Amino acid sequence: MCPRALHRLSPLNEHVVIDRRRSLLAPPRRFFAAWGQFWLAPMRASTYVLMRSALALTVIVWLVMVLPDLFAFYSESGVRPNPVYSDYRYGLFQWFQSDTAIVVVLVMTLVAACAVLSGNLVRLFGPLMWLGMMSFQLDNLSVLNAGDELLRVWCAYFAIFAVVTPNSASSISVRDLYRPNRDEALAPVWLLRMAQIQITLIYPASVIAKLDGGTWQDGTAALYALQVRDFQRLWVPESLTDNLAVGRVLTYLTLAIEIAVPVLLWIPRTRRFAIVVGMGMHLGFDYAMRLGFFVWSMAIGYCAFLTPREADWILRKLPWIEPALELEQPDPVAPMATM
Amino acid sequence: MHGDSPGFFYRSRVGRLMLCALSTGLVVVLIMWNFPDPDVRAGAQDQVRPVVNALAINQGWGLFAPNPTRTSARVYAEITFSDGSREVFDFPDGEPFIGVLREFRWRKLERRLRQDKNSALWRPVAQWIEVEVGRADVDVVRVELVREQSRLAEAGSGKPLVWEVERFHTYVPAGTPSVEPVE
Repeated sequence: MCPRALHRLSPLNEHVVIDRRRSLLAPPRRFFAAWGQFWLAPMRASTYVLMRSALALTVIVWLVMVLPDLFAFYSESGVRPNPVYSDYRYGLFQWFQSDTAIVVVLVMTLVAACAVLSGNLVRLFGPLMWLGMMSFQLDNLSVLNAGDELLRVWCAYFAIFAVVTPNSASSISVRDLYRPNRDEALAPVWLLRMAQIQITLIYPASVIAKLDGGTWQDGTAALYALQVRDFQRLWVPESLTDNLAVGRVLTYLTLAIEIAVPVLLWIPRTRRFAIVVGMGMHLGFDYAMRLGFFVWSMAIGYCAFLTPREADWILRKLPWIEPALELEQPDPVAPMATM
Repeated sequence: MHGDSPGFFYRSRVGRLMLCALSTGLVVVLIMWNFPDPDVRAGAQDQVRPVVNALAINQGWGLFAPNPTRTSARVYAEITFSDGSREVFDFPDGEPFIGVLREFRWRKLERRLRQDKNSALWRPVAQWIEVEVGRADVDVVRVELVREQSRLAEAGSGKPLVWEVERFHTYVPAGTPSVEPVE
């Protein structure tokens, strides 16, 4: 039946009502469709694989660096007082407090992080990695900084993603991405979106917290931060750390970057610039101050803003990728032999 | 997605709706947790604390805020042994390249340890130091935690740091005889 006939058969007022309903529902429908697309659309998996690898690698380094102080920090005979878990906080050491349990959880978390790094059974090992990191971090809050917190947040988002996403998508390995004769490797964009939103929230929260500070207003905050002895890391000339003009530039530049970067990251034309400026600022902080894993954790978040092509470029630079791919290239003689 | 089924959360309408609702909920939780106004934030955090705590996504981004600290600090321990000898114990230090990824935790602990509000840390730390420096031939009879602090001079003044030293906690292991330190 053609639309014209429908029009003739239907009473005019009903036809109008149907149209009005459609027009009323169209914007919300479009919004929900766009919202769904924003969270769930599949995308070439390079960016996801890069972010997952960066997260797993950071967790491995985190665990290795805690190894010398494992019992000092987490054993009952260590430096922590009896840990108090506030409501709704959980960790394995709440129930298992022996030194053996500490070693078991460490090994479990290391194995999980290695599996996540290589893209094996991510649906199982992603949540285990989160459980292990959460257990260590919540058991001794007195040795944590913001970098540790952010790493734990990434692990939580990753665990949720791993649970809701089929293994075939979450476990794509670097080799899968570049294997010849394979369909394009796609993964849902959910994890990248969470990371993008988290990074975007960090900067305004940080700036707002600073606005009341007199040293941020008069431009001396950077000088004080650089002069704290127990924060100092690598050499910074005294002419810089005691120079008011330099201090003002560094202080206001920090504020300007923290205000601008979360906006510029979402604008396609300025995205790369924002990544370079934002990471440059964090690397600068990390050079001058002992901030632990903060720059590592921020870098994991910045990975989410890379396009698949940029992620491909980085992944292909990894020294162990090219030789492995060359081995997997199809033998050009083989098809001829079948003829 | 390659190969297999895209899974319940991506394939079915209900699954997609659930995942979108979860995502929206998480974003709302994050915004409430990081809300700009401190008074509103305190109330909002109470509302979402169960979710935030359960997922361990607690976060605070007041880094160097509202002002960077104006105090340089160092904490160490002075140990007295049963033979009257004394020893200074420093928390682990490391080189600034790789080792810094380990030792920043000890600096963090020192910073917290020096504050009176964290006095719950003092005894366990002193007990741990007692074990760390323990010798087979002599007992540890006293562990004194010492804080060395200096308020930073006004920015740009070029004045040197002036350090103040204070013994802020003394731990005497149970059952050890009292021994006066050799000066």
